[in-house]
Amino acid sequence: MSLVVDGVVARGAFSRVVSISIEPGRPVGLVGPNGSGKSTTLRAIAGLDRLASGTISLDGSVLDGADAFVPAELRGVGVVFQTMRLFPHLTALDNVAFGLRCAGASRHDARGQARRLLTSVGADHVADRRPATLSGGEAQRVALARALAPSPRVLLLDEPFASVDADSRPALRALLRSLVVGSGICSVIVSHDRADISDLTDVVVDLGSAG
Amino acid sequence: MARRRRIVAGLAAALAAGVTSVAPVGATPSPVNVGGGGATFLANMMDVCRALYNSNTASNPGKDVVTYASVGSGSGKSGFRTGTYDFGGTESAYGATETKPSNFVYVPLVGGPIAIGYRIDGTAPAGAQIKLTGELVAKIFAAQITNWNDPAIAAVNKATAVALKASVAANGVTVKSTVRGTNVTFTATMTPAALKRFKGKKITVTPVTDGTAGTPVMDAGARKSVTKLVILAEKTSYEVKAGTRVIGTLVPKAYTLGVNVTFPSLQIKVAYRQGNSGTTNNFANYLNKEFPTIWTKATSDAFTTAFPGTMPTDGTFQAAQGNDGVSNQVRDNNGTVTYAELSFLTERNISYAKVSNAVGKYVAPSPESSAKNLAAADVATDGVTTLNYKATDAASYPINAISYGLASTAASAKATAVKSYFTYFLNKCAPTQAAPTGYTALTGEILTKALAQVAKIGAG
Amino acid sequence: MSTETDVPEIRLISGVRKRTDMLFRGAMTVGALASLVILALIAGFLLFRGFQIFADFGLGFLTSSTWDSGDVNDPTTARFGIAAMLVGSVLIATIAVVVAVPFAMSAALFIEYYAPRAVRTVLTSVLDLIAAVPSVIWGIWGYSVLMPDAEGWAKTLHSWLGWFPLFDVPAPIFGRSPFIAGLLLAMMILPIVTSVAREVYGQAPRDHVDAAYALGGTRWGALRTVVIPFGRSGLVGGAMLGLGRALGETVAVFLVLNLVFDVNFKILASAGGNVASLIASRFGEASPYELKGLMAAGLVLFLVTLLVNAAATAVVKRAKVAV
Repeated sequence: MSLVVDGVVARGAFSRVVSISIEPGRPVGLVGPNGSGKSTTLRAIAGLDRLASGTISLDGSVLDGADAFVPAELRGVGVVFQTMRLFPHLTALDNVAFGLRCAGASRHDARGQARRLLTSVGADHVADRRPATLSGGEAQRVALARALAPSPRVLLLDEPFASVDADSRPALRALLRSLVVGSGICSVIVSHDRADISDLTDVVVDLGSAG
Repeated sequence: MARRRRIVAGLAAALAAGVTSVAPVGATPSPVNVGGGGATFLANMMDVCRALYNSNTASNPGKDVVTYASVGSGSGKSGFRTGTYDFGGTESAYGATETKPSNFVYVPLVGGPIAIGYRIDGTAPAGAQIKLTGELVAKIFAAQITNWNDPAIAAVNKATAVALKASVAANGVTVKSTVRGTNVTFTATMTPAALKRFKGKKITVTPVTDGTAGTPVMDAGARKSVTKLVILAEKTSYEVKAGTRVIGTLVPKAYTLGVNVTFPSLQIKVAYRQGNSGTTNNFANYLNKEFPTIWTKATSDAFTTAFPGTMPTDGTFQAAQGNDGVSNQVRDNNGTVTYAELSFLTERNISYAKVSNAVGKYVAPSPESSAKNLAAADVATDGVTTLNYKATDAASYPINAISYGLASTAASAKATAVKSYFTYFLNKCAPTQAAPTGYTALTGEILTKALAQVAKIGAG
Repeated sequence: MSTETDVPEIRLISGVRKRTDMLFRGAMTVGALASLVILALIAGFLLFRGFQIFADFGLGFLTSSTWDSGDVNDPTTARFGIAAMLVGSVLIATIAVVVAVPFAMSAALFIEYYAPRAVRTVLTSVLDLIAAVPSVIWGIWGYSVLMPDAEGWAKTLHSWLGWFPLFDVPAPIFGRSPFIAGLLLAMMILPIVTSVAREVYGQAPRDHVDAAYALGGTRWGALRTVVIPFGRSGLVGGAMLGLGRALGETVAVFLVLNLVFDVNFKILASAGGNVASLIASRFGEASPYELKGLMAAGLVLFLVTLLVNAAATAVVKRAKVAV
């Protein structure tokens, strides 16, 4: 039970070798200076970009390899983006319900489940509001709930607290910790904030060092 | 030989009408470009004639070049008025309040039958050529008869029994027929008084089959008694004349004329000309003049305007563009009837009706039957021709159109060239080319009058 | 070593444009203004030629349905009204848009989000090719190929939905109806609507599309949740551009529509109106007065089309700003 990345990630002219192994319930922190390939690695794991070479496998089955590629929508990943990217024309509730609806749930079931998730991240009071009216912390909670909604096997977090004010971060960190540490989810956290890394992860991969 | 004689006759007529030689003898005139335009009705005929004319060195020694733009009667009239065209082509005269060009004449150029084309799948016998009275035509196109199985249509499409009539007598002339096997013997006897009366005249017996007269089978000088043995033609009656006097019609053997046509129950759909059309004008004029109680409005270039009352808007009346459009509409839609130039129907293998004429005979449209009608037309001094719907010739087809050329009477090189071309058109081109092209050449009196109009072109 | 000749001459910075630049600028300006001037000239021409009709018939020209060129000899008997034609034009164009938009939408989404590169290139050029088919070819094809089939569809539609006034017919004749003309126009406007749809869908924010994929969203989910809502107003604009084109289409409609001067909302009935077809059918043999009527009709159509196009442009523009 693990997610293994062993290959070359590339985006445009940039490329580098990445080799990481992620165990469920033991989040991996990805650190390094700008341009060291953190986001590119996350995109590769999510399936938004292909590896230049090498493989990504989950529980032994190949997600990305020389002759296999599982597209993003079939990988069962959840991503929390740095800028959150909530769908602006949907309410917070429908944002969370999105993944469930895509998985085939009825509107009613999806909304029920989404409401429970919002409650679990402490954002049920914003359920009917549009993303534009949410504070950074609220939006981040919604984004987290949205990423977790389809019960992903892999959770990728790209600077999850970058757009959240410093006062809210400890609470969110605690929330995230309670959700991923010790769970069955393989998670990867990219962050500049040393506190995030030290608080949430056991394993740290530094892409700043020669790869 | 026959053709040559006709041309000579035509030239004689032209000379009689005072046409002077158009190309100065000995001079080498520079070619004149003559540009005409107008009626689409006329276009096919124009194209044939101008091509022949342009390459004919005898009739066109100056090597003039004639062109014709098929743009419609209305545009032809306005284009000729404004000088865009050196001559115009139209089936309708200028309106009373319409601005007319100064110094011009109408020249009747060519005529043609307006046929009633139809498609009725499921008649018995299949593909039967139907007969229509003029009144039925009027009612069908006025939406007063709306189904092909209307009893009024069936009534005229019945076989008629022609009873035996073995003897006719009048004015002291008695003609009897005796049938033996496939032969028939005609015996004419004359009283002394009749002999005296018809001295120098002939007794003629002419077979008439299906309304069409053949060549006389007996053509004898008036004698006390004449006998003639001929082979009996099926379904034929014989018209007997002494001199020009009709003695009667012999029917040596009874027969039935025509067939009983049964019609399916089928909605009649009418395809009419969209927009303005010379064909519509001529067709609606026939209906209005002959059946004023049905076609109550004066004719118009637009069918919608001439139509009496309110035209059905349920799709049973279909507007289509040009003779092509209405013909396609009939070809493609069962139950549809239209009025169109004959040639547009024949080239699509569309059936067309025989229509009853002023003497009650059902006649199919053809260049010949159309010519019989046009011969009775009246040409006014300005050239405007009034068709005679009451033409008494039994073989005349009643619904026709006539095309005019418009030309200037002011003297000019162009007018001279137009005059030469029109003369060629009437005298040489139309007599040989009209019938194969689907038109009716002008002959006889109307031709003489047309040539008199030509004489006015460029006369100053 | 360095001599005077080695020193580059100081380039003078002048506020005056260079001659060539001025010329080029002038030529471009003329080109740009020409279209505006031509538009104004057309409107002016139509107004000048048709003005008398508006003066003679007033609003009746728009509200009555009689088109009677009158007695050839007496223009005062003429009656002109384009209500039926105007209603017909809008009805047919609307049918065209209603039919074309779903197809255009699917085509655009397929090309942008599903098709492999090779297929995409082929499809794009095929659509461009469709746009290049002359109107008269559409008309002939529509008359001889589409119509026989479409009559059958119309019959089926009528047998199921005939109880609804829109699909009722006064007589069982299904050829040359607004429905068929609309279908034909739908195909003709497909390329332009598709091209606009592609443009707006192509502009859907990549980030959000990725986000949708990365959340376990299916491709359909991503399209439905992100792309289609983002492209909605752009698509409305594309549809309206199509509407504008459909309104002015002449020759093709002309062959597959039975022009009847009576306001008709029954789309399957073999009777309809179309301003452009009216003009085309009457122009050739019109009397001088009727010609004025046709010019006036042309002006009305011109203005309606201009309005629709302006509205479409505004909607598309707003859509771009919003994205």
